[in-house]
Amino acid sequence: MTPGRKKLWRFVLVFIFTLALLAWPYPFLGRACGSVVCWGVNTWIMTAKDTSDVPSLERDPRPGYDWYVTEVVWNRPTDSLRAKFDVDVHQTLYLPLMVFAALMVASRATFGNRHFRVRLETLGLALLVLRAMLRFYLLERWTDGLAHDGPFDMFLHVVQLAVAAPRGMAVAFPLILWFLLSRKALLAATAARTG
Amino acid sequence: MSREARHRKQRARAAKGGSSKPTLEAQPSRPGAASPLLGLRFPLVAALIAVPLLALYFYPYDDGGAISTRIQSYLAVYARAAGAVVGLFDSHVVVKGTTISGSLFSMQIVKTCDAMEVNILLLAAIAAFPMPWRRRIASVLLAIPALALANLCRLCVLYWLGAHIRDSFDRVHQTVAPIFMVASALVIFLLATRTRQRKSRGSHEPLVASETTPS
Repeated sequence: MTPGRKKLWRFVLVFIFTLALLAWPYPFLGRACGSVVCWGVNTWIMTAKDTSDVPSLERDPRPGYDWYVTEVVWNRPTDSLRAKFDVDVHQTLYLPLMVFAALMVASRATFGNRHFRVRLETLGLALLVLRAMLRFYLLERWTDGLAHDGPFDMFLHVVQLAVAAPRGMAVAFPLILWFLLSRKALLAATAARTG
Repeated sequence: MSREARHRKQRARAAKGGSSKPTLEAQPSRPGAASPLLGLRFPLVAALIAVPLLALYFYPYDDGGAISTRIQSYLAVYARAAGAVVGLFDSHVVVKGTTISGSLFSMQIVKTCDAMEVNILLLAAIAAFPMPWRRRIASVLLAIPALALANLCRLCVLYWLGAHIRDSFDRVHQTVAPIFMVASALVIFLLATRTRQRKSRGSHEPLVASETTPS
């Protein structure tokens, strides 16, 4: 096995081990993260226009699983309930974030501090992408919950079914994203090593 | 100079081992050379293969339609396979359609339970990786059943958890199982590409053109 391959295997093993440790939905963490995510989504993800239609995300007191927040859509100005649907923040936010965290730990353990800048850039971009993904997810759930059936809504629905709904994608998508973001840096590092 | 004479001259030069035009295809792999994984072609081709397949499989087809019925039949086959394995340690298991029912627990195999998204991503990654077509097809033919086997193990473990440690079922189903499947796909992919490197080093078989950095 070449040294490069050895490093790759080490990277994969550290990544899997760290992710398994971080991603487990610890009950106390679930409650805390659910609250933080509700607050974060209400103040950071939603824009003023969104909040005029979707006033807030509320915690759903579902026993055994603390990661759901319930989105409520009201009819204005009568304030009657129009639609209500659950968002699994573990699947849509926490797990992808932990994939990035595990990738950063694995990167540090394998490549040392050489990739520190890549890690920072990756984390910044990852947060932006996650924000976009969550906005997209909420938009899709919103149009789906209100039974919109135009071509754009159908497109959103298919993308959601193919990319957001399968549980494996919560792990695979950040992994692919990280690979694409750090590809250039890895290429440069290899070129520097080979002279 | 005629074409035949030119070919004869080229063959003679190649036999001496002194090709005047060294190509990427003839270069042996160097330990420090950039992997084809890092080239731009690999992610682009993989995305071109994976996106239509994902859209095709996950499109919300009408219930009772031809495609939906076929997908249900395929899931029923999957359920029978999982039921056969589960039946080895629980003799009361009955499979009806896509539902596996036992004395202690029942579970239904739905569209994402077959880990199709991971299968499609693995298929796309292997198909996009630069290697000869024959080896590519062989890798796919070995990798997809290996991943299906890993998924059957996942379904059996989930059934066992559902029957004996019900509280852990959701957590394992939603967190550990996806990590296990993606990790399995990653390891299978690395093994498939490792075989390629070892064989190409051993037999001095020509490597296909890839974006390598100059050294």
